[in-house]
Amino acid sequence: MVVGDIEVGTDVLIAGAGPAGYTAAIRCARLGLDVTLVNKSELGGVCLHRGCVPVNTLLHVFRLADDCKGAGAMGIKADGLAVDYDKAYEWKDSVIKRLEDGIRDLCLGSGVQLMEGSCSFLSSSRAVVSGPSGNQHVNFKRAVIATGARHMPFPGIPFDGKVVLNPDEALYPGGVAEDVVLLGGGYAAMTIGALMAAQGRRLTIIHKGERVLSFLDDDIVRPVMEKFRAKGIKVYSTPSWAVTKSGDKMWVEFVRDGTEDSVETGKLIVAIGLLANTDGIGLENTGVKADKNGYILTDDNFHTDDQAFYAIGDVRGRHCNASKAFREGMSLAEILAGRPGWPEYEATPQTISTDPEIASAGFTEAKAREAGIEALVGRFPFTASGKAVSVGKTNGFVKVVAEKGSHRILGVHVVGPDAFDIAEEGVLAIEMGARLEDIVLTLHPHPTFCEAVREACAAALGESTNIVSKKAT
Amino acid sequence: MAYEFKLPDLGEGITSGEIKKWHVRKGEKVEEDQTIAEVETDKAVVELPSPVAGVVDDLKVPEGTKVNVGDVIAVIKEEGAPAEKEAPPMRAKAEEKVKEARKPEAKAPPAGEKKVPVLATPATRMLAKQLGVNIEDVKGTGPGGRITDEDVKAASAKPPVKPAEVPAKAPAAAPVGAEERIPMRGIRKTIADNLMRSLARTAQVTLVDDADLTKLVELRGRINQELAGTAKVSYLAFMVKAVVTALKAHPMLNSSVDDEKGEIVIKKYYNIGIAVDTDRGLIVPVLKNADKKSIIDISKELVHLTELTRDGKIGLEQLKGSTFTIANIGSIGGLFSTPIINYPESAILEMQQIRDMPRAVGGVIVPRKVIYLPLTIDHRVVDGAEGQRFLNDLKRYLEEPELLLVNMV
Repeated sequence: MVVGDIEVGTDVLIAGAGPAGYTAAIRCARLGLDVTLVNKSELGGVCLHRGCVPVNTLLHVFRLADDCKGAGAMGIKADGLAVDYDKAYEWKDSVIKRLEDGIRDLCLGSGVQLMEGSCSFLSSSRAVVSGPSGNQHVNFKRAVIATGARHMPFPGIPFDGKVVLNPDEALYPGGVAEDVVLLGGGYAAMTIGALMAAQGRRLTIIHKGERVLSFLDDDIVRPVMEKFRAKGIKVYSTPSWAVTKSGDKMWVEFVRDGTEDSVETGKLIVAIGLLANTDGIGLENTGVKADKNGYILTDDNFHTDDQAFYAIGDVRGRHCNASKAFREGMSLAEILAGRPGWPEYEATPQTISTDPEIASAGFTEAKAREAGIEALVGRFPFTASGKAVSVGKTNGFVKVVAEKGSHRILGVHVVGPDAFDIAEEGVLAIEMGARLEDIVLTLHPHPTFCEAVREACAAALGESTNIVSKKAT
Repeated sequence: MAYEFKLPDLGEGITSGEIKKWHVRKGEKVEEDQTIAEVETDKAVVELPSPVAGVVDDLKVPEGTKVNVGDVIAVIKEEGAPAEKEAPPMRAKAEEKVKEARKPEAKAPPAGEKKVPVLATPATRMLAKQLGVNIEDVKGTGPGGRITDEDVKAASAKPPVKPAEVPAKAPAAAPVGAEERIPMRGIRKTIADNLMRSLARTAQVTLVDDADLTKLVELRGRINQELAGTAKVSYLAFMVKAVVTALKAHPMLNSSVDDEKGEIVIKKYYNIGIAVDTDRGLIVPVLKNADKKSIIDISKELVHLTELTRDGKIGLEQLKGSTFTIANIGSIGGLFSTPIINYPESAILEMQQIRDMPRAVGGVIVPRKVIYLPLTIDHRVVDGAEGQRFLNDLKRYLEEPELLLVNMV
């Protein structure tokens, strides 16, 4: 840690300590570069503090309780079982702390110089970091902007942290009985919607477009919608909407099946898109250029229009995703060390913590058709998986998309138990250019959920019936 | 209704271009298919036709701006169009036109190609990147056209069409332990950067003269005897005094160039940088206002500065603001050298070793105490003649040190 008024110098200054920033910093340091990482109070970024990690930690708790309650037939007596909210949130905080401490140890152990505060660029070689110990000027040779993105407010209805919340703030523990309206049908909306559903909140989801998660095939989303409905969560699609607010009350006007409708709420969660965190970081003092949403423009090597600046992670826009951010951090570190960056990858795994979970990578069936690829599709339902039946989680299926002529696997989509983990076999297959046969001819551990990936590949080849009937013996 | 004209996909993996020229102005009427802009990509200049007829409502970017595919570059108010749209057929039309407008050498991708990703494992793709091979251009010889490591290596052996983006020259493999790699950082890196900057930005020429220090050696001996150990004057202190006195007569050697403003800055103060050899590398502490200090004070201060520097205790302020630098390699040895200017100064003097050398005095060869004095000047501001005149004066003060008394403040 560097404090005081003396100027410090560094080769690489990284602004932002989320997945992209801290990964780049650690790798730079290990490659022998002189690197300084500026952390604005959340080492690990939104992912660790307000996103993926806390949401999935809490989801695990609430689903564990649900699983127990639903396991009467297995002999579990769950009378009086309840989640202690205080404890559950303490657990969540302890998980974050443990992981954050781990990142800090990795940074310091690798020789990364950590500075606490927010970073603002004064020129293409100088920045000021305003932190708890005052202002510190830093001279740098190269800078990396990894400041991430944040949720966009509904026009005219700013977030207030009380009744109008962004998805990050919607992790709050209290007020389970309140009516909540969630605007949006994308990744962030569905993730926070899933948590609220698991917590038993009274939720209404209103989204634009024909359906939620429009980047996925319709059939993958269907089990999730069915589960929402079973939990009493209303999901409405609308072509247009308006929000009015008076005191702590809000009314969302929208069009439902051609007629105007309105819903009143005391809690509004807005998840309608992301904005880059590029305001207030002094971009105007540099040659860095951004698009109209503030996302920084770069070339394939993360280089901006200012020779001294690079940008990685969500601040570049496109698809905001932690896996992608880790990758970009690694690749940029190589580039900064004078080596070639990492090559293009084909598939970005998307993980959506709905019930059941969705994991998706590569071409969907619809995208393949759009691209003019003749696709071969295979599905395998978890109702036919021995493992799924034995743990009582048979909702969902695995879907594989392959090129018809070559049998090359182009997309893998899982909705069901442990989807995040078992999808990875498909991601590897896509990257390796594997054929359906490669997976079918590979032994899979038994009994597992991942057998379903193999079965889906077999189904695409028209061999599933045999295999399934064999399993039944 | 307003039509948002986005930079269409220009094909061949081009993701951005520069708006070279707008063919229309705000408020101007455009016909469908009328060229509205020229976009320069790394491969060609492409004319963009308007996909709709209407009035130009807004040009979003000025000429010379880099834009990415998908960025809105113009807004065209359509006339009589029924509704706001971003109609796919229109976009497709714009793309078609773009393809037609493309220069002939920019070949259109054959239909049906590149629908699916390149067939190569991540490790093979990495190899391509390392060898500077564009994997899209490699023909795979494996099953189903799979690109193998061998295919990539074969492609890299051919002369590349254009130089690889990153000159990733793999270092020749050396036996284990035969090499040690030390990260270039800290003071070493600063020294390297400063010297490269000096060589890159100035026109350096080195003049060499010698001086007969026999009298100075005697004088210094006498003075130090006189001081009887209470203090000691050094050759370097005499050199500093002689340099400052000569600089007053030749101010261009005490100047620097303000490259940004294109001005020569002549300094009326004399801060002499002293190059000090340390364990960590060469560091140059500064003896400030040397013209206002006595030789004995300079001697004491030099000892102090050198100690601070070697111990790593020198302050940032004591390393800044030198106007002329003296390097003293003579304490180590050597006949003469060609010092590099301490940028942005305009001259540097090297003090070589004082040696017994034969010299003709009054027609007789006698041993004398001789020093070589290489002086590097920035020829942009100091011409050779001026540099030599400075050396002549310096030589005079060193050979006849009593002259220094005349000029002493």
